Amino acid sequence: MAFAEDFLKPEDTGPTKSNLIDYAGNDPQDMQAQVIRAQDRDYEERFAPLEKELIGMTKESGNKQANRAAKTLGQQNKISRQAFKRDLSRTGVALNQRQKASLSKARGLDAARNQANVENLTRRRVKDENMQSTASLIGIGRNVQQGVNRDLSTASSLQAGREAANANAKAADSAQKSQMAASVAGLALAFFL
Amino acid sequence: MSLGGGPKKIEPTEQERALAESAAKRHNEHQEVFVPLEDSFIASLTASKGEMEENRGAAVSDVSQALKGNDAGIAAASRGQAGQGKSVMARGMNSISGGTARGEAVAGVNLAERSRKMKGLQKMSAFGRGLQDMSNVSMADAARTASGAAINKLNVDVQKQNSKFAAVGTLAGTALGNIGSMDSLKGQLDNKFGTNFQGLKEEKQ
Repeated sequence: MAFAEDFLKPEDTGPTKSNLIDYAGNDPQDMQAQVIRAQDRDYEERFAPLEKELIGMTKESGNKQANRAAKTLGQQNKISRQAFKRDLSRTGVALNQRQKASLSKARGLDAARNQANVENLTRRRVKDENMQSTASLIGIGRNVQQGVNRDLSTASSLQAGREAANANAKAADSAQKSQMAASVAGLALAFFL
Repeated sequence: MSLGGGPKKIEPTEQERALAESAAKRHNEHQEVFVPLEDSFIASLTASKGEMEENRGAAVSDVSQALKGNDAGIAAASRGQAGQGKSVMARGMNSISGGTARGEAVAGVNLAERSRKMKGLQKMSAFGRGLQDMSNVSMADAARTASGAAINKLNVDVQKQNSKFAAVGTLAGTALGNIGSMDSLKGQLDNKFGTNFQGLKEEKQ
């Protein structure tokens, strides 16, 4: 408890009271029902939105990230050019026209090549990550489906067992009633014979 | 008509109550200790503005350090001619490469942040479904417990009915097997209490 208090920021919220179980005087089945409801509520409130957010991210094309990367590259090239100019100025170096033209050309070619490169790499990386996340989600989905099959199978078996027990009980009840009626009749008959 | 008995509800034993209370306490402890940690983890999946700036700054700083080292190397190799000819062009090209490297580093930080968030969301999605799956298992357990109790109650009812019917059956069997003795009993009753059971039998005959 102390660890959690030390670690958490004040704005972090704890569990809602409704997710705490009242165990005083309740029987095990009631408590289990409370836990099941609390777990369902917990999933719906905290985890389902994260799942939806992840699914939304896996559908991103990567264009937004690519454009952002290209813009970042342009900004950093501009900063670099200005820093180089300041450095030359501080050391009293002046470029001649030929040097200026040559560096300008190199900078332009480099910017164009690297901009295209960073855009393509970003799209590819976004796509790769989207595929990995989608694969992970598919795996989660398969597990969920297996859980559904398992639970339905359990429920069906339980229902079949209960129905069989009920049928047996009814048959036993009927047989015993008949037997008792015959016995009582026989007893009366014996008494008056 | 049913002679079957048994209580409407089967009361849990003290041991079952204690076990359930212990489990419920652990559930509450999980809610109070671990759920806040989960919330904190979830909140940290999206990096804050400050955290992003710090990461970008660190990336730019690393590249800039490398860039300075390169520049110093070129200047040292120029033998005092760092502002001349090939040396200044080399420094210029170093600056261009540096700009690209810084841009790629910052873009990489942005992508890494997205990647971290997606991995965290994957983990949380799995945990969330784990909870949901556990919940389903618990539901199955609850159903199994309830069904087990219902089946046991049915079995107990049948056993109780069987024992009652068996008692009646035994009585009837005993009577039928002792009709002769019954005649003797009737005679004794008539003699002792003045009844006329023997006369009833003779009238019917």
